[in-house]
Amino acid sequence: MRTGLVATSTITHATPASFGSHVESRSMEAKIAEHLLANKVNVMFGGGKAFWTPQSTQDSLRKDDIDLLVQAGKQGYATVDDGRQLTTVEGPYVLGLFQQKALTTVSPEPTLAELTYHAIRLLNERSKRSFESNRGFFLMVEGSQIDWACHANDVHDCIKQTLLFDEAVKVAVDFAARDENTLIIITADHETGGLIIKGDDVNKTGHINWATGGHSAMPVPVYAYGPHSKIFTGVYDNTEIPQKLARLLKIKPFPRKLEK
Amino acid sequence: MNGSIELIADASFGVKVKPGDHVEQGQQLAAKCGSQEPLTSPTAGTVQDVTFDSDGHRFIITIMI
Repeated sequence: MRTGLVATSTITHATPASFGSHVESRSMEAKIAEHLLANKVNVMFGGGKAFWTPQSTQDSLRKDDIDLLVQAGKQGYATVDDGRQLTTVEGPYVLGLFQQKALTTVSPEPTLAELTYHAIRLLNERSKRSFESNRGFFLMVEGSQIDWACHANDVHDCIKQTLLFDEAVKVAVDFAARDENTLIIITADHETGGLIIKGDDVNKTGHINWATGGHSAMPVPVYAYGPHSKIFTGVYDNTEIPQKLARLLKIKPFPRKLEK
Repeated sequence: MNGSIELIADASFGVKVKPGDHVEQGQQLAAKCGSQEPLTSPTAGTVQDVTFDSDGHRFIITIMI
């Protein structure tokens, strides 16, 4: 099965990292980049080029001389760093790092929706062409900066980042509607900020309050579309989501014991 | 002594103080990065700023002493 990660954070930030690496701390982004490469994630789009270039390179955030972009090339990755290259890139392995750190989420950088579109294009086409055909793909797309806007209690950026994520959801759902054999799960790992809207005039920002600058214990929605979507209904712990996915993908045992 | 100190807190758990607050030595401000252990002020002072660092998913608390 082909795999992909898309984020508006660095591609080595906590959420995408948790899908393709295993390290002691989220702050170990240089090591996480090595893991993502070693685990051969087929498509990776996001920011954080600074964690992939050697310390001698301007803006590098590595503390060694490892050049992961060169290593990626040797492993067969095509690398892109702007929207024009993104539209034409092909290949079984594609690494797109569009900023040294997090994405700016403003033009001319490709949008999260565009990144999602091309990730699906690459993963789906290669899956169809592949000798090991019909094994499909798994793609994780994160609107990373919704959380950041809420930590900063910035309602305008919260709305902007949510709308950018919404556009990406549309791209994925449109594909699934055409494909008729793709399951889409839309959820969050937590709520941030405890945003509340007081009164009846939501146009007045003075009516918006935040309960915290941290994560809250609010339940988060899980939206599902496509085959087997019904198993995602109800109220359950978020740790059940990967278990449900593992059952659908016939991954046994799950979770796997760590190899020593 | 005059000056300021910066303390780093895990963003997941928020911050219990805001700019302008007076804090006492030993007062809990937030949680330490990567843990739920309390982050306490090493000295008395006034909170000058609390900023969110998205790259590190952490808060930086500046205290004037």
